[in-house]
Order: sequence, then structure tokens, then C-alpha cells
Amino acid sequence: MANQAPNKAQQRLSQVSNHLSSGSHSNALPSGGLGRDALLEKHPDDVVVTCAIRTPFTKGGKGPLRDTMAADLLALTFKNLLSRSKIDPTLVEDIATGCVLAPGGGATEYRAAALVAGFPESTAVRSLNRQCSSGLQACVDIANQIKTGMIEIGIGSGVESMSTQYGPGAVTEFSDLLENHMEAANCKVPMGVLSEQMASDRKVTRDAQDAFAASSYQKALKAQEQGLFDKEIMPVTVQYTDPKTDETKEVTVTKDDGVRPGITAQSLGKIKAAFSKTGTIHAGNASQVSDGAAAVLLMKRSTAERIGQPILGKYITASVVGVPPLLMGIGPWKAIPVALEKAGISKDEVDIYEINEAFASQCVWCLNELGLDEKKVNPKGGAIAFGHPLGCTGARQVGTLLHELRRTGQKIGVTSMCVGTGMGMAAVWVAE
Amino acid sequence: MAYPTQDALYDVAHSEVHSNHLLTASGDGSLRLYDVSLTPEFPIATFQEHSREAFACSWNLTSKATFASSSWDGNVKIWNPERQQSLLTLPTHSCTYSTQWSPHTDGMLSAVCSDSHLRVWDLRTPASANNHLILQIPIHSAPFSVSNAMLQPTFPPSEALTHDWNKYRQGVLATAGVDRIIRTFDIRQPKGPLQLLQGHGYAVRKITWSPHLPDLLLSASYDMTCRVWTDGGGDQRKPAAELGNMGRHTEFATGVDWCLFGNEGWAASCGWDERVCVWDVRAFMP
Amino acid sequence: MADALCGPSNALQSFQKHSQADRSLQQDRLIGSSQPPAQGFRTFDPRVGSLDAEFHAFENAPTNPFQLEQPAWRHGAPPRQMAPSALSWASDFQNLRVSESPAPVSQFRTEAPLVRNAPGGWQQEFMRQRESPTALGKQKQPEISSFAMSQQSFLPFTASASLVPQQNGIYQQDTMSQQLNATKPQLHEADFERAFQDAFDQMDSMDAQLKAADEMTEEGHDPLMEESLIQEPSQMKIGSDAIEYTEVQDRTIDQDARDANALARVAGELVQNVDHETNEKFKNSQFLDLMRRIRDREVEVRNNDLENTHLQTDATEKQLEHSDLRPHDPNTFQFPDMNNVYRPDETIDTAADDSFVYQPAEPRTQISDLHPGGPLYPEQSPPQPRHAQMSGAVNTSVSADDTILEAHEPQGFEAWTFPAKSISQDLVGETFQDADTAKWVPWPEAHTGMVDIADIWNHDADVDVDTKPAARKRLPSDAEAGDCWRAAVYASANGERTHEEGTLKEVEDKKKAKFGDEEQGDYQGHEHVQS
Repeated sequence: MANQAPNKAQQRLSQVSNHLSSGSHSNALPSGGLGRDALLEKHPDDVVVTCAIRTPFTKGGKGPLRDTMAADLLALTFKNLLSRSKIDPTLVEDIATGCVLAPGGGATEYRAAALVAGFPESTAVRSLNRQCSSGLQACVDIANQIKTGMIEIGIGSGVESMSTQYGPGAVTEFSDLLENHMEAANCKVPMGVLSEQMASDRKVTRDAQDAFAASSYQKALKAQEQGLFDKEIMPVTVQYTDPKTDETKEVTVTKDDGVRPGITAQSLGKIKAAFSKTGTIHAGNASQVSDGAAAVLLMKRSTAERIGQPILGKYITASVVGVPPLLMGIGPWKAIPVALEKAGISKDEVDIYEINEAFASQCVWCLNELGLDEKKVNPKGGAIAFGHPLGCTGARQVGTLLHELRRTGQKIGVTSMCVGTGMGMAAVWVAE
Repeated sequence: MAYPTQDALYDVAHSEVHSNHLLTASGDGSLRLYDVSLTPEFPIATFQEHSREAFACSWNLTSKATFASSSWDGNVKIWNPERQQSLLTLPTHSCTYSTQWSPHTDGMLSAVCSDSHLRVWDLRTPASANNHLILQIPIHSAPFSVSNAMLQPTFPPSEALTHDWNKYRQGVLATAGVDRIIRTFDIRQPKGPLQLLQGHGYAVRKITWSPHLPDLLLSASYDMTCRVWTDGGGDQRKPAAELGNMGRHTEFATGVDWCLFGNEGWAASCGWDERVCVWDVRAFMP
Repeated sequence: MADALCGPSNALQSFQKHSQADRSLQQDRLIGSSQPPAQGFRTFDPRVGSLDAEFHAFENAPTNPFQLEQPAWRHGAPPRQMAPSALSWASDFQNLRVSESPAPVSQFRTEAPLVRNAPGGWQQEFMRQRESPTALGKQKQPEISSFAMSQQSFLPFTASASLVPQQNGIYQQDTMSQQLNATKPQLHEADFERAFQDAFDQMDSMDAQLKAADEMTEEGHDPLMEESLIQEPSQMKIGSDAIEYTEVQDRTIDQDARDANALARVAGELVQNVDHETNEKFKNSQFLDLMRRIRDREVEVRNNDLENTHLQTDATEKQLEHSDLRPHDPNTFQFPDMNNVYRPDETIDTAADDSFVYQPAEPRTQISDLHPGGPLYPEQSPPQPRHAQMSGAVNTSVSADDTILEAHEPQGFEAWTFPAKSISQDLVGETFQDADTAKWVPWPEAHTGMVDIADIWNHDADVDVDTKPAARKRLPSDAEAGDCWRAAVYASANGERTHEEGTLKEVEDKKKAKFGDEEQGDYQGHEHVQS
């Protein structure tokens, strides 16, 4: 009996401990009450965002960031993140960076960028590519690493220099094997063509698209004028060669240059369609080509409180789904309900949706099909107005969403986007 | 009168046939029967078959000649107090915190286990491959009433710690456990719970239906409170709700029961604060 | 249903049947039936219970294998004559409920069930509740119940169908009227017969449906089917099932040592589970305080009891703890306090030498910096200064969250410039082979056929066509250019060599040739992509 006692006591204590474990929400879901109230509860093992910033987005090939390499944009963003958050860089254990166009995934130069930015060699770096959702995937990966205890503090980020890195090398040519499989071959049909077809198939009218696009411009303009992007944008100073004068100069970029005044549905209605004479998609109702980078600092709530990091919000859960490659634009429509179900809330309990505006056609279709209140969607505009640096957008949305939720005193938000080759991704966040 | 025991006692049940007889379930796996009218401090019978902690004992409410016990060793056993050996062993293969006889149907009993399942046995059935098991409901399954457009939440499995048969409504059971939710089930509708009663901050250790009203139940929880609930009485238009909250315990509240013979709302609860609180439920219902 | 027992069958077929079986069937055992109702036939009905008396009659059929004699050993028990199966306090409740009369308190106070053992049993109880009992009530009901139990064929089902309210079209109406009757103190033969007739009719129609898909047999239960219906719960163990269990006889001293650590660890986990709790009661909980002390090894389990460790300042005890060489008596084994075992030798470091500060050499990692107490002792981790010093960081003393955010933008931001070297000019001057002409063309003209793209960018874009219609006509707008570019990016990124004239169209044609027309949309006019 004597040597049995500790074991037995330990077993019974383990049992009681298990009984109590439900109070601490050790998994993503609140194991007890579901729904909005449960999501808003704070627990020490929540994965929280303590800093979310980005560079300004500037027009691809033309804007002031056009000569800055992706890795440099990333390094600038990391540097800004460190200066804004004041976190000791040695505490950051891992960095994930989403990018789409970089040859080799950018793995080498992003590691170098982290070192340049002031992270020690002990901070690990990786790059990843899930097309347009790479930035979100990076944040989710880091959040999951924190959740499982693999790391304590990490950065999810995304970057794209569309000015410097598009080109024939971004995708290897399809083999005959792929070419001869229809659904596989569909993966390389250009997205504009896809979205055009989807617009006609799903009867999204040009008027609806133009109205949506114009409202994106107008919302973004208003937000910019009111300084609503100030909390997420941190200026960068770069070298820029004026293509007209060939003059190289140093400029400090402080705001998105894609946002323009005076755009209305009527003015957009006069632009010639891009992909088809009878088509509906044109440059004004599709996302802009841009350069930019964004980064999100993530850690456990207990850690954030311990090291005095301000908590902007927390990560709840995420979903990724597949859709037919030819219908890639419907990704959010399929991904958002999955994420909401995982979070245990209904679509009406979400205060703000940040849904990437790859094309107005797919975005409008998704909103209609999901029955979302358009006032809740992209309140500060979206990629149509200020650009879609492919790998960066997912990380950008986190900051855009959380700062807006905080500003308006709202709580629950969703970020989502369609993904080329037929996928969708969505994540649920709660601002604090 | 006090009876010293070698190990912790997890449950106690009055004999249904003898008002002086008291059955205990012990941490060493034994079940002991005491006669409170006798002075010796030894039990009048000991039933030792469970290999680990015996968590529950329950006297057959209908035939009254047998009782059941459940244990961490993953078995429910049926005993006759006259016999040293158990009459029957019903394996659950999971730590079984609670076993209860149906108050309505003779030979029917149920248990809830760590594996998040509610099991029902009918001893009238032939002992087939299922060993009298007629029902096995995943407690964590999505609620049954799926009529509204709202997405039904899904739950991860979690340990079920307690359950009880409704004394009035045939086939209605309530279960509760680590996930802090009290659920009601109708075994005629085994697809999922009828009602979810939420409010406890930690695991619910004990629930018991009122002997006087068909919709009222009491719960005791690790959150150190005992609460009174209504499940709407089976009428789905009536909301399930928490009616009252008794927070006098200063440690985990682990047991609660109604007074059968006193006033209608009287209840007693116990907890790790080494106290038994006797209270009137109505005094805690605002 | 169970056609495995008669007639040809195969495994797949029976599996299919199993998987299609209505699980609500399981409950039908309650009422002695094994006949499969139609899918979804039995749904939840909140009015269940209004026919309790009949149900009760059925339930008390004398088939319980565990009805044993009264315990012979009991002393001083009142000589009560028991009729265990016929009576119970629950049945009192039921009967009272049927009669819709509130249960008087006295019913519960006087161990009623034990006293009431009139030979009439339930029947008498039942009749007593009714103003006008008929002879039928006495005769028919036992017949139903015994029949139901003894024969597992069609009839039990009909009996059960009449006893349990069900929801199925016309039938439901009938059962509802039956319920209404039941709540009134009158019950006539006609009611029963009508119920039976209805049930039979219902059965017949169901039979017809079922026969199309399934062959009825007379056998009631298929054990195999039962087995498959009761599915094993998932193999993943949770809670107490996941707690490792070691048989006493298999235990070793090593395990004891591990147990002591494990106990402290478990206590730590337990404390951590309630760590976020703000409730005063949890803060004041003696149990949780004990757990903290066990976690911190201030208290240990020794000889089945809890003992304080640190309070024992007895010299010999201390010495024992210091020397890890005590004989390991398995009965009196006590775990050395690791804090004492590894405590610096105080005999060397005397108080006289104040300058020497003992620094334990510990592996230093990022996490151990952050959490000196390790994951189990998070509260030992000191709060870090709010703004840790950082290379190149801007030092500003700001405290509130929002002020931090605002203080740095844009005034607070210190320009941080890259060396000019890193600005890429790599592509400028590079040449690319234009797919269209197969010539090598300098960047960026070669890329996508968008030879004017630079001009487009340089052009002051204007989507407002009202002011500059001509410009729009000649050159796409700024945003249009972007779009063209993107289209080209994807086209080229996808390896389609789309830069030459009509490439997309050719691709489409190729695809059509390959896959046929059905999947191809009307992709007309790709000129814009190229221009």
C-alpha cells in the first residue's frame, strides 16, 4: 500500500485535474459554451495578435516601391514591426512569410531579410505559398505552432513585389500528364478568364460589379482621408527611380497610392472589358497589381501579458477548402461557413468581414450567396481600391480587420479570400 | 454514527428494501453494506470485485432486490445483497462515473463514462453479443432539434461524470460532465440531446431530477456552486433555463440531492469544503 | 429485416441494411417490438407520458430475471410482503400523472410504495384512477403486455404502436385522440379496438412499403444487426481513460520516484487549469492552495499521508536529504527534494564572503529567459520591462496601447533606409526571348506582348472618360493596365506562352480539341489581353 499510494493519489489527482481542464479551453474551440459569448472569453492560452502592420501598397511597375525587392520590403516591415511592438527580437522563435511569385519561394532571401531587420540567428524563418492566401496561411501556421506549444512567439507575414517578380519562371510548364487531365489543366486557366466566365455563369452583372468596385474605392478614399489606415500602415523609405526622368531618389512612402478620388459606378461603367468584348471584368473592377508587405506578431495571451505586449485581438480558428479550379472565385463562399462552424457562431454574429476583392464579380457573388450584409464587408475598401500584393494580402487583412474592429468597438471578424487553382480560406478573429 | 473506512467513499445509496441499510462505493473498489441500526463499525457485507475505484452505487428502484455499481475499471456490476459474487458484469471499457436504474422500467439501467457515451442496458433482453446493451448515445453529439437555420455547434467528446433518470417523464435522462453542459436525452430519440443547459463554470459533478416536479433538476459543480434548472418539461416551446444558484460552498461542490420526504424544495449538497449544506431551493430562485 | 437468417444473403447486403436501419429502433425494445418502423417514423414527441399507465402495465410484465427473494439476512425489517414487479413508487407517480392530479406531499412522506402491495397491483391502481372502469380494462391489458413480451412478432408492435404516441400523418391524429381519451377518466373497449385497428392499418401500409425493399421475417432480432447498430465509441481515450494505470505488483522503486514528480506535475497542471480564474472562492480554496504546495514540493505524500517538506528543519533530516545516498528501503522511501540535492554547498559560501554570489549554471535559451520557472511554474517568470531594449529600435517611453500605436506615426517613425545597392535594377537591360517573334527583346517589352506597358504606367491614368475620352481610347487606364498585367502574369506564370497574338484562343482551341466543347466557355476576344 505504501508504494502504491503516490501512484493512486496521482491518478486521482489527474482525474480531478481533467475534470477541471474544461475551464481553460485547451483547444481551439471553447469546449463549453459556444457562440459569441464564448468566443469573447479571454483565456491565458489564447493566441493573440499584439502588432499588425504593413507597408503602404503602391502600384505595380509604377509606384514608388517598384524598385524595391520583395526581401527588402519584408525587411523594412520586420524592422517597423520591431520598432512598433518594441518586442525583444530574440524572443521571436519563428517567422513564416507568404509569397507567391518569388523564385524558390523566397526562402533564402527572407531569412536574410530577417537578419537584416535585427532578428538574431536564433529566429527561424520559412516561406510558404498558398497563392493568394499565403499571408493568411502564414499567420495561421504561426498561430497553430503557438497553440501546440511548438513556439512561444512568432510572426506571420506576407510579401509580394509584383513589380520585380512576375515572369515566366513563376510556374513550371505543365507536363503532358497534367495537360491531359482536364481538371488539372484547368488549374492554369488565367484567373481573369475564369472570373469572367463565372460572372456570366452566375449572372453577376457588370453594373453590380462596377457598383461594388466603386464603393470599394469610395470607402478606401474615405478611410484614407480619415486616417483609418494609419494604425496599420508604417511608412518605408526606399530608393526609387523615376521612369520618366531616370532620376533615382529616396522617397518615404506613407500611403497607398491606388486609392483615387472621384470614382463612381458610372465612371467605371465606361471602361472597356479586359477579357472579352462582351465581358464584364475590367481594370476598374478587379484587384490592382501592387507591391507591399505585411506582418503580424502572434503569441499566447499569457506571454503577451508577461512581456507587456498590447493585445489587439485573438485568433480563433481557420478553414481551408477546395473548389473546382474553374470556379476558384467561389472560395470564400465555401470557406467562410466552415470557419464559422468551427468557431460555433452564425454569420450574423460576425461584425466585419474582410473578403479579398480579387475580382468584383467573385466577391459580389460570394456576398450574395452567403447573404452577408454589405455594410459589414470591407468597410475600409479592399484590393480593388488599394491593391493585392498576392502573398501579402492575407497578412494585411488581419491588421486591417483588427484595427477597424477596435476603432468601432466591434468584436468578431472574419478574413477570407479566394485562392488561385481553386481553393478558399477563411479565419475568425476577435478584437479586444 | 460514524464508520471508519480505509479509502475514500465516492457514493452512497439507501437500500430500497431496508430503511436501515446503506451501501457505499469505495476508492478501493469495494462496495460495503452497513446497517445503521447496528453498533458494530464493520459493514454487514462487503462486495469486492472492482479492481479500481468504485464511483457509483445505485439501488434498483423497481424490483428493489438488486443494486448496481460502476468503477474506473470500466465495468458496471449488478449485485444481489445476499450474494458475495456479482450477478452480472456489464463492461463499458471506460471509466464509469455513474450508473442509475430506470425508475420506470424494471431491469433497465444506464451509465455514463469517460468516453462521452451514455449506455442503456435492458436486462430483460437475452444476453447476446451486446451483453444486454441496447443503446449507446454519444453525449457530445449535436443537439437534436435542428430546425432553425443556425449552424449546429459540434462538441468534442468530454468525460461524462453524472446522469439521472427523470422521475416523471418516461425515458428522459439528463447527463453532465467535464464540458460543463447539462444535457437532456430521450432514449426514444437517441440521435442527440434535446436540451443543453449551460452556465456552470467548471465540470458538473452531480445532477439529480426533482422527485416532485417533472422539469426541475439540481446540479453540483467544480465551480463551487449548486444550481437549479428547468429543461422546459419536454415542451420545446418552454425555454430551458437556470432558475437559481446556491454558492455557499467554498470548495468544489460534488454532491447534491433532493429531500424525498420533507418539503418540496428541500435539498442537501456536499463538497470538498467538508460541509453538507441543507437548503431550500426556492430560497435561491429569484 | 433479419433476412440473414432465412433466404440468400451476402455480407454487403446485410451491411447495407444495417447502415440504413433506423436507430430509433433500439428504443423499441422498450416496448417489446422488433419490427422496423419506416425511416424517421418515431420522432420526438413532448407529449410522451400521457399514456404512462398503459405503458406501465406493459413494463411490469413478470419477466425480470433478477427478481429474487427478499434478503434473508436483514434484521429487524418490518415483515412487509413485497410485490416487487407490480408496484413501485415510480408507478405511483405515473398513475397520478395519468389522472392529472397533483401529487400530494404525503405520497412521498410515507414510504408509500413499500406499503401498498394490494393483490390487485397496478390494475387496481389503474382502475382506481378511473371513474368508470370496464371489464375490458382488466382483461385486455394484461393480455397485451404478456403477449408483447412472450411473442416477438407483429402483435407486439401493434400493441406498442397503440401505447406510444407517434407522429405520422393520419395515425398521429388517432393517437392524439387516444391521448385525449387517456387523460380523461374513461377508457372504453371501443378506444382500444380503434387503436388496434389503426395500428394494424398502419402496419399494413408500412409492410407494403417495407416489402419492396426488405423481406420481413418472423424472427425479431438479429444479434448481428444489433451489434452493428451499437457502434463502438471512438478509440481515442480522454479523461480518466487516458490516465496511465500501473498494477501494484508491477511497480518498482523507479516508479515511485517518478510518481512523486508526477504528483507535483499533476498538481501543477491542476493549478494551471484554474489559473485564469478570478473568482475569489478559487483564490481562497484550501484545496487549490494544497495543490500549489504539492506542486512546489512543499508538501509530499509520504506513507499515505501529506507531509510538509520545507518546514522540517531538523538537522539530521536535512542531512539525509542532502546526501542522496540513503538506503532505498522500498517501504520508507522518500523522495529527495531536488532543490536540496542541488543546493549550493553552504559550508563554503559563508556569510562572511558577501561578494560571492552563487549563480547556478543553467542552459540559457530564449524560453528559459522568458520563463525561468519553466512551463510548470509560469508565475515565476518575471514580468519583462514593457519596452525591451532592442538594436536599432526607437526608444520612446509610451505606456498605453493606443498611444504606442499613435506616437510613432508618422512623426515617431525614424526613417530607415536600405543601401542603394539593394534596389534592384537587375531586370533592366536584360533581354528576353519574345514568344511572338522569337527575338530577344530587352526588358520589359518582351514579357507579355504588352510593349506599351511602360507608357501605360507613365501615362496619367484616367478612368473618368468624360474628361479625356481620347486618352482612354488610345491607352488603357491605369487600373486597366494593372489588370492587363495581371492577366498576363497569370497567363505567363501558368506557362501558356500567351504573349503572341491569339494565344489564348489557340489554347482554347487546343483544349476543345482535347476535351471537347462541353466544358469550354465562350472566351471571345482576347485582343485586350495582348494589347
